[in-house]
This record gives sequence, structure tokens and C-alpha cells, in this order.
Amino acid sequence: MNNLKEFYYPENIAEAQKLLRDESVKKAIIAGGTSVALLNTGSVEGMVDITRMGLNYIKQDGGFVKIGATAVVEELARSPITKNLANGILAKASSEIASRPLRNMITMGGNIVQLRIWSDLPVVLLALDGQIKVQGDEERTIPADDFFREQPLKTLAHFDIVKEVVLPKTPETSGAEFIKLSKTKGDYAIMSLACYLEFEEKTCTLARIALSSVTPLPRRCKKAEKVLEGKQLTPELIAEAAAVTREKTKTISNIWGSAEYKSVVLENLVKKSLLSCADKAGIQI
Amino acid sequence: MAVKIKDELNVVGKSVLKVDGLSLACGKAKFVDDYELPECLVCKVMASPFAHARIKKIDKTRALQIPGVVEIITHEDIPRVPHTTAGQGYPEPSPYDTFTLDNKVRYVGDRVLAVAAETEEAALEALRVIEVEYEELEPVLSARDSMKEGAPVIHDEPEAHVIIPVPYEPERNLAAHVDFKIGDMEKGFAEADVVLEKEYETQYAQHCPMEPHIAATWLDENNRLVILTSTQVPFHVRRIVAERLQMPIGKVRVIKPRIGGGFGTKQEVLVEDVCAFLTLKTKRPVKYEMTRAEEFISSRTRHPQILNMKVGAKKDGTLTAISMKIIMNTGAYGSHALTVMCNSGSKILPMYNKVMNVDFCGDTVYTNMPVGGAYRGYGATQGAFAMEVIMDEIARELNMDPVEFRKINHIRSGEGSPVFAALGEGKAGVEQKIGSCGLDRCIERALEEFDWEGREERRKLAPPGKKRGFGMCILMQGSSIPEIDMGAASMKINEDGSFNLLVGATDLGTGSDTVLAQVAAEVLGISVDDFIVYSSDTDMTPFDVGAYASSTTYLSGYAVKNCAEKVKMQILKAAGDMLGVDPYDLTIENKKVTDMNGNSVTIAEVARRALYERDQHQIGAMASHITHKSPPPFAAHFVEVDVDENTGFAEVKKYVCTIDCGTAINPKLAEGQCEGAILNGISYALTEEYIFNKKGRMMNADFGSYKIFNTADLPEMKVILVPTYEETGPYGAKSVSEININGALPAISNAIFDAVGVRLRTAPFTGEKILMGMLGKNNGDPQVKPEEEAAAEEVPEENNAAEENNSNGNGVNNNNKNNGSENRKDKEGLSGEPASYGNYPAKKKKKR
Amino acid sequence: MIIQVKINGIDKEWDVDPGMILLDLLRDKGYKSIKRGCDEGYCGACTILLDGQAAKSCVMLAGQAHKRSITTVEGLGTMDEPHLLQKTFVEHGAVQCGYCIPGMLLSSKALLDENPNPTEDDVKEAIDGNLCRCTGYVKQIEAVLDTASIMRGEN
Ligand SMILES: Cc1cc2nc3c(=O)[nH]c(=O)nc-3n(C[C@H](O)[C@H](O)[C@H](O)COP(=O)(O)OP(=O)(O)OC[C@H]3O[C@@H](n4cnc5c(N)ncnc54)[C@H](O)[C@@H]3O)c2cc1C
Ligand code: FES
Ligand code: FES
Repeated sequence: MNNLKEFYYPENIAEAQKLLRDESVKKAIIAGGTSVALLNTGSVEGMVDITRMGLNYIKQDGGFVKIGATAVVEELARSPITKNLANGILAKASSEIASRPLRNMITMGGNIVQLRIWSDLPVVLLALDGQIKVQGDEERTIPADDFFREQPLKTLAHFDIVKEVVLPKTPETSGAEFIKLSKTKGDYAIMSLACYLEFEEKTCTLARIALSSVTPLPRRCKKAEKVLEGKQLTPELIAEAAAVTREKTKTISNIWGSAEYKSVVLENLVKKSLLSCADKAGIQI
Repeated sequence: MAVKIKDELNVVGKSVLKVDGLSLACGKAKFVDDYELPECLVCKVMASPFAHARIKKIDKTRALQIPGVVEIITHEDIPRVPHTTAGQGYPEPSPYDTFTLDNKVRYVGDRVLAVAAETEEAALEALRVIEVEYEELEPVLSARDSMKEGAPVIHDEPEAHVIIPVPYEPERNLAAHVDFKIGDMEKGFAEADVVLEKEYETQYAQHCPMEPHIAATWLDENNRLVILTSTQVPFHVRRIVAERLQMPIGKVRVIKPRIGGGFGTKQEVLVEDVCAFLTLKTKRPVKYEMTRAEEFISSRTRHPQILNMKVGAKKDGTLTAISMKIIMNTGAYGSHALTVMCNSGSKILPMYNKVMNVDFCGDTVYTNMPVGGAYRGYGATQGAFAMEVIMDEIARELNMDPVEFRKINHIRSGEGSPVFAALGEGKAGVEQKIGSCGLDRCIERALEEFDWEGREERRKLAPPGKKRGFGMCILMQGSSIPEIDMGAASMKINEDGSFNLLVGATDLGTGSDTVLAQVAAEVLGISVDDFIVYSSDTDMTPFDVGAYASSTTYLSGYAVKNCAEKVKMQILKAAGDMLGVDPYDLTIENKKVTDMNGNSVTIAEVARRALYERDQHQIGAMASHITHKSPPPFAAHFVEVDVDENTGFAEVKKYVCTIDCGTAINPKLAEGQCEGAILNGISYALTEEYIFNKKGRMMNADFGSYKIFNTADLPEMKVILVPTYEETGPYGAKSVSEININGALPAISNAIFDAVGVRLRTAPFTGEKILMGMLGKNNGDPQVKPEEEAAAEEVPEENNAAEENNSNGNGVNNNNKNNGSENRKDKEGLSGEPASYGNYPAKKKKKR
Repeated sequence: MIIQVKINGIDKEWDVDPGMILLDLLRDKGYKSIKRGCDEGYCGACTILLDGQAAKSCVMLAGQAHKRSITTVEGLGTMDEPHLLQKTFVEHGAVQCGYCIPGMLLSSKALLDENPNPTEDDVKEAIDGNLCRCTGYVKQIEAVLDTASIMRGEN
């Protein structure tokens, strides 16, 4: 049942929060609207449209790339800033979401708050150590690892506004890869993977392997990362990390494929993306 | 075969612009939903949540109290008239086993009742509160189970019957049966050096016209029932609805405006009858538009088949025997149950006409699953898959190039096949010898264009991590149903020399209005712009069976030609009077009639004279046509596929299709037909399928999980028209619309085998099937029935991240609990009750 | 509530239920060129231009359109004076049933507005949200590329 009576167009976060906190009328946030429009909005009577508060920026700030919550994924796919960050995996992941008209609508914030089994951006944030800035009673910064530990909608208060996503710039000696497997291009992910490796000399100093769609929530496989960290990578080591990822990931069966198939593919694709990360970092294996 | 010189013709063979093209591109052309009907009620249909159940009780009291709810009809409120929804020639070969509303539901999505309300919101609310008490019955959820001794009987009602003498045994779930034998099978197989026997299986699929089924009905000022509907078969709709309403046909008028695609699914009468009943009850206009989910679940599908093939061949490549056995699943109702199955043989077996030992046995069975129907390809799609893959398998056994092997065996011009006479549509077929056949040339052109010879070189160019393979197949179809289908046209002149061309043939986006105008324009020496084409309105246009069986150009085109020739004679006669010469000495060209001395009168002058000046009369005519042959178009399809070794995904890189459709009346439109059919075929081969849960409910009834291809998935595609001249067709034309949907399944399966050595005999060819095959875990045989496989794949509840949260911090209520089936849980959060299942998009009730 | 929209260049003030789906609102207001193919954001039949960018009106609420500009095919060209894209679509045989065409034309227009020199891949990407079951997209892609080259003065 849709009981909406009013839309609000705050010009800044303070105004938006004021609106949300005023409980005389039950209100909710709308960004791109691509999920909200299809949802049962229940007893909500007012929608706070947060797309007109200047939060649609993508900018560099010192050692960080900062993305406003209402930047749309088409912009993420095209911006030179995202294209130059971590081998452009955020841009790549963004470009593979749905289709052009939807990419013009879907926002960064909406994509990570309305977490779906097939959401594509969370893995990238996990692999690149993203930080999510939330304005609640006060501003807080939540590491992606924590943000996705549970369904964000469950942990955020109704007046919490995701303001910004911050991604650290990656050093020269690093490589990143994003791979999405889907039935057709632009389809929901059967599996999304994002990997990131950092090297000093030839030693892998940091590894992140993040996966989604094959498990209920997006997650990193830290056991597999440990296989690589502190070592000089070899094909065997990479194969081992891939095997560990498979072993430690309880994949699920659904209409997109059986758990068994996903496990096989997971191992194959983790291997493939780790090799690609190393290659992009200029490390020969 | 001599190709008639195109230059003789002025309009035919030219890519003139589609007559309704600009209006469509400007958003002006009207589809059913674009008509504003004052006081129109919204109709919503409750769909069965159970695969098999008896309706015990329906309590509509609460619903009738909802403001805006005007009428609710159940099986108790309307007469029980057995009929078939299949819009076919009368008497129909499909069994009469369907009721507009019944006291039994036979599949998930079957109709339970219908509501008419002032708003969609009120109608949906009514569906939510109506209480229906069911007695669940044991469902039959696979074709094989349906045939088992003691299987639950799906049509246990006494009324189910057939109206022509064909085998029909509903008491053992048999909806249709055909068999025949030619020659001596034992001898045939004994003579063979290689005998292969394999089983193939095709899946459920939906037509997915972008415009779903929709109809609006009202009573006109004379109290006649008007049906505005998105249909391929306006005249069948009129007959069938009149029959169901027990009204005289003359009291019903059916109008077909612009149609947003059909592909066969709109050859069914699925929405018009409920709408009409509600209009009769309420005396108000009523509109019923299926949601996309209903379109998947409750409309029609491609019949799944299990095909058992046994083929014998000698070392030199000659075939000695072919046996084809089909089990076809028609779902809960027998729409096209006989004829689709027959076509799987009759459009496929004649291709290999040199073999004199052939047997065919087809059983169509009822299940408690979605209902099959006409779908572009009409059984030939399923048949071609089995036949063209086993031919590839045999060729490989014999170490022969699959192209060479086919060249030895395929049918040619001047040849017949005993199968033509043996297999008809509900009666014996019509014997025929092939007139035009450009298959040899199709194969040659395709070899060239595709560079089949160079394929080993190209194989090496596959990107890292991918394996490249090449496959091909050859195809034939038909053009119209001989001695059954009739098409007609009428034409009249206006005083400026323009003509009204009225055709019963149904343009559903195919461009037939244009093609038919081209035929008429050619006869009359005028241009397409001189025609005002109108299709179709049962009050205005002459009868035509409608747009199916690849008949419009070949059959209705001939009717138009006949009609135009009659008109031409009248024009010449009048012009002869004006010029004082014998009409036979006149020629008609460039909008003028000219005598041997170069004196001429314009057609407009002739028209004015006939209408106003002398010997006044209406120049005009009506003509019809039936066919005695169904000349096949022929095609060769070649495909290049890359298979990803990590994921098993097959990607079509290049697709070449050469097609002999006789004369292409409008080459651009003909190419468009081919391209559309090919892409639909590819999408069917690689992704399209129905996934069911254990209870027979489709789990992927939306474009998010039932994927059809978009531009991002498009391979390099090349269509080449290879002209021939079919003597029996208008200006040499045959059909073009269906044949090319049949090639992708076999050609891609063959290419995948060529790439990675995995033989896929069960469609679709998903990454999972291929990868498991590469790992030796799938030998390609259809061992696991898709139903079972799917049931095992049900999503456990915790799977969807989004589903875990029932209360959304931001206040948006996300309480989705729907047995973990949908990908987009959110929309279910709104529907609540499973009882209103078929109506879900059940997103928010719209305020309109 | 009252929303203000500029639609096909004309300013409008509509008293609407802001929770209504934008597609329903626009069709109610007579913009029938916008079609409904799924209601779920997949098919693209309901595509409009929102501030010049393609958007799917079935996954938008009316309130989101407040103070924004909308273009529909009615605003692209008329039968008397069609937009070049409309003309080339017809000439290339890109229109079959035409149900998907308004949406596809708008996606194409958005592309050409930002990129007068698109490659085939650019075109494929721009119209990837518009499903068409009749054609194989071949002629539509040709038509967009051809329009672009005519607009550049090359043809
Ligand atoms: C047909 C279709 C296909 C899709 N395919 C994909 C795909 O393949 N991959 C993919 O990743 N995504 C895909 N999406 C997008 C995804 O499903 C969501 O719809 C989208 O991410 C939501 O973003 P939005 O900006 O539209 O959010 P909205 O719909 O506006 O909001 C979604 C939720 O998040 C809350 N919210 C939004 N922004 C904020 C914020 N800044 N702070 C706090 N709360 C906020 C809202 O209150 C609401 O509860 C698809 C969507 C559609 C319609
Ligand atoms: S109706 Fe909007 S995308 Fe289908
Ligand atoms: S032309 Fe029919 S859907 Fe595109």
C-alpha cells in the first residue's frame, strides 16, 4: 500500500535530517528511487529526496577519492577519477550494472544501502578498503568490512544518511580486478568478485579477495588472503588461494545456478583475477 | 531455378518504407492501451496458486464491499462452454478442454475468477480479500510422470472432447497422438554402417512480445459487443468469443489496432472472453491487460519436447533410416497440442527426403504446468534441434564434414517427400513437390560469407581462456497451411486515385500491411503511398485466418494480388471507354492508363469518371485465396562460438544466415524478420528457460531472471537473402518469418561441441551445463528433467541478503517473505497473499 | 501535492499523488508514446529523457520529477516534421511493431546529444536498456550510426 502524500527536497544534510527526525509525518529517504519505486512503502507518508543536496560529486582529496552518496553509477563508470583509481575497477563494476537508463538513476548510496544478493558495488568497496561516512546523531565513518557485515538497512537508523564513500588511492605497485559473471550482459550477477594485491618489491604485502552473490552477504575471504600475504607469488600459491576461497565459501544454490557450479567457477575466477592483479601491478608470475 | 528479373517490377522487391513506420516512430500509432475509453473498468484475474486443485468455495462478499469494485465473476456466474483458446482454422484440431472459468484449476497461474473495478487498486484489493477454498489434488509436473500408469487425471471433466476425429484420451492425459511409418525400419537400420540413437530435450520459453496481451470491450450504440484487442487472429477471436458467450457472431465486432508483437502467443484467445463477460454484466467498457508476470505464467509458451532420434547411415554418408519419437508437454490445456507436434515432424523430416525408411510417433500429454501454444517456429524449432544435432553427430561418426554430409542428403527442387502427405495439420497432409529451392545456393553463400574453410585458422585466434568452435545447420519451414487456411482482401478506388485496401490479414509489427500494399501497387502500376491500408476489423475487412503459419505474404498476398487484378480489369475497362480503345490494348503504369498510341488517362481521372461522370459505379473488388501447397523457405545457419573455460559460458561471436524466401517483396522488412528470429533463437538457446519449484510454480517470471538478449549481447550477425522464384506465390514469394528461429539451437549446440567436446542435448546451453560437461559431470543427455533440476535449485530463505531485513531503518517496509523464490523480493512484499500470485507484479497498488 | 515539470519544453503544474509511478502519471496526462512493457525497470518501453538523460519512468515516483525537464517522443518530432532519428529509423527498417521504438529513440537521442560521433559499441551501450523482441537490433544500430553521420554532415 502506498500512502505517500508529500515529497521533500532538502538542500543540505542538516535540512534532510531535520525532516527525517520530525516524526509527525513518517518519512523515508529516496535517492535514485529504482528500488523505492518498486517497494511497498507501507505507512510512510513523506519521501525525502536527497538528490538535490549536492552529494553527487566524485572528487580527489589528498590521498583519497571521495564519492558523494547520490553520484549515479553512470558517472562512476565514466569519471576519469574512478577510471584512474585501482585499475578502474569501480568504474568497471559500475558500467556493468543493469542498463544505461538505470545507471543514470541508481546512486552509489542506494546501491550499498539497499543491499541485494546481486549488488555489484559492495565487493569493490570491500576490496579497496572503502570507508562509508554516515551522518547520524553525529558523523561516523564505517569501514566497508563492518558496513556489509549485516544488512545495512538493519543497522542504520531511519534518520541516518549515507553521505559519502571514501576510497584510499592505491599505490603504483598494486593491482586490482573486478569480474562479474551474469547470464547476459547487464544482468544480475551470478557472482561478482573484486581482488586487490599490493606489493613491495616482489612480495605481496596486502591481499583482499571480496566476493558476492554466491553467499547471502558480500564478504572477504581472509583465509585466502593470508595465503598470499608476505609471500612472493607463484602460480601454485595463487591456485592455493583460489582453492582456499572455494573451500571457505559456502556457496548457495538458487535460480542462477547450483552451489557446486558456483564453487567451481569461484575457484577459477579467483585464480584468474589474482593473476590479473599481479599482472597489473607489474609482477611477473 | 530462373530468377525473374527484378527490374521488371516497380514496387515489389524494393525496400519501400513501412506504411505505419513514421506514425509508430512518432508515438502516434495507437495500441490497445492508447485508446481512451470513458468509464472504463479495470479487469484483474485471480490466478491459481496451486498446480492442481478443485475450487470448493469462493466468498466474494468482502470484496464486493470494497469501494470501486463493480463485478466479480466466477465459474458459477457464467455458462460452462468447452472450447479451445487456440485460434486455428475451424473445426479446430485442438481439443475442447478449456472453460473461461472452471471449478478446477490445472496449473499455477490458471484462472480462478475475474474482477472488474473502477481502479486497478480496487481490483487488486478485491483479489486480496476474496477467499477461495481449494481442495488440493496431486499435481503432474513432468511429461513422463503424466504418462505413468495411475497418474492423476488432469481433464477428468466429461466435457473435454475433440471436434474432429483425432486420437484423444484425456483419461490417460493424452492430448494428441500421431504416428506413421514409411518403408521398412528394420531393413533400413540393418543396412546402416552407423546407427545412433539419442535423446534431446527442449525447454519452456515465452514469446515475450513487448506489449503484453491486452483487450478492451464495450457495447456500442446498437448493443453489439466490440472487442479491441491485441491479436493475431481477429476473425478467430470473433468466432471463439461469440461461441463462449453464446452470442451470434454478427453481434460481435473485433478490432485489431497496432500490435506490439505476437510471435504466436496472440494467436490465442486469452483475455477477450473475460473482458467480454464483464462488459455484458456491467454494460460498461472493460480493459484487461496482462502484467509481465501473467504473460509468462498464464499466457502461452513454447511446448517443451523430449525427442528420441534414431538415425542410420552408410559410410558414404547416405542415410538409411530415421526414426523420430516425440513426447510433447502441452501443459494444462491442449492448445495446438496436435499440430505443433505434427510440425516437429512435417517441417523437419522432408529435409532428408532421400531416406525411404522413416517412422514418426508423437504423443502430446497434459501436465499441471504452463500451457503450450503457437510460437514462431511452431514445433519445427524443437524438431530442428534434434534433427540437426543428430546429423552433426552422425557426420562426425562418419568422419565427414557436416556440410558435405548435408549436401548429400538434403531435398532439392523437383523432389517430394512422402512425409508431406503423411503429416498434415489435424488431417492428412497435402502431397507436394518442391518448386523453388535455393538451399544449395544458401549453403554456398554461407560457406563463403562465414569462411567455413578458414575455420581452423580462426580457431587459433580465440582469446586466452576461451575455446572457439564452429557449427551449422540447414532448415526448412512452410508457407501457409494448404487447403485449410484462407485469406481475403477488398479494395475500392477513391476519386483522387487512391485506394482503400482492406485486409483481414493481421499486421502485428511484421510489416504485412506494407508488403500487401506493395503487391497491390505492383499490379496497379501505382505506389504504396496510393493505398490506405487497413487491417483488421471484422466489420470492415474481409475474412482472413490471421497471422500465423507463415502465411501472410504467400496466402494473403495472393488474395491481394487477385483482388488488385480484378480492380485493374475494371479500371482498364473504364479507361478503354474513355480512350475509345479495347481494354486489352491498354497498359497501366505510373498512375496512368496508356494506349498503344501513347494517349493516356490518369487513374484519378478514371476514378472521377466512374464515381461522378459517366456510367457511374464503384470500382472495387473483393477476392480471396487458398493454397494447395506450402512451399518451404530454406535456410543455412553458420555460427562461431567462444566458450569460456573458467565459467563454461558460450558466447556467439558470429552468426551467418542465408535464406531463400522466394522473392523478398520488401528486402529490408524480410531481413528484419530474419534478424529478429535469429536473435530470439540465440537467446532461447543460451538463456531462456522456465525454472519451476517443486510445486510447479515458475520462479523466474520477469525479465530480470528470464533473460532475453539486448544490444550488449548481440553477436556479429549477417543475413543474406538468396532469391528464388516460387511459381505459386505472389510475385514468386514464399514465407520468411518463422524459419530462422529454428537454427540457433542446433547450430550453437554443434559449435559448442566443436569447441569443447561437450555435446549438449538439453537446452538451454547454460554456462553451468557446459562447464559441468567439461568436467565430465554432464554427458549432455537430458537425464535430469528441467523440472526436477529446478526444484532442487530452490533458493533457501536466507539467501537473499535483502530479505533478511524486515524492517528497514529508513522506514521503507521491506517485509518480503515469499518462500525465497523471487529475485526481486521487494515486489512480493506488497502482494502478501500467495492467492493473488498470478497478479503479482503485486508491487504497490497503483493509483491511477 | 503540486509538482512542476517542464515537459517537451512546456511548463506544467500538476496536482498529483507524489507516490504515483511516473509512467502512470505521464500516460494519464496523455503522453501515450511512453509504453509499458514490464513495470519493473527491465524493458525500457517506458524510457523518457529526464534533464536530457535516459531514465525509466516505471521505476520513478512522480515526486522525483518535480522541477525537472522531461522529453517524450511527442516532443522529439511530429509526423510532419519528424526528428532525423525518427526518419532514419523508418528508412532503415528499424521499426517493426514499434512498441519499443519511442524508448529506443530517446535513448539514442541522449547518446547523440552527448556524443555526435559514436562508435557501434557506444550505440549498443546507449540502447542496452531497450529490449526489442521483433528485430535483432541490427537495423536500429545502423539507423543511429547513420543519423549521427548525417548530423555531422557526412551523408
Ligand atoms: C531492473 C533493475 C536492475 C538492476 N540491476 C542491478 C545490478 O545488476 N547490479 C546492481 O548492483 N544493482 C542493480 N540494480 C540497482 C539496485 O537494485 C537498486 O535499485 C539500487 O541500487 C538502488 O539505488 P537507488 O539510488 O535507486 O536507491 P533508492 O531506490 O532511492 O533507495 C534504496 C534504499 O536505500 C535507501 N537510501 C538510498 N540512498 C540512501 C542514503 N544516501 N542514505 C541512506 N539511505 C539511503 C532508501 O531509503 C531505500 O531504502 C538494478 C535495479 C533495477 C530496477
Ligand atoms: S515498463 Fe519500464 S522498463 Fe519496462
Ligand atoms: S519493434 Fe517490436 S519490440 Fe521492437
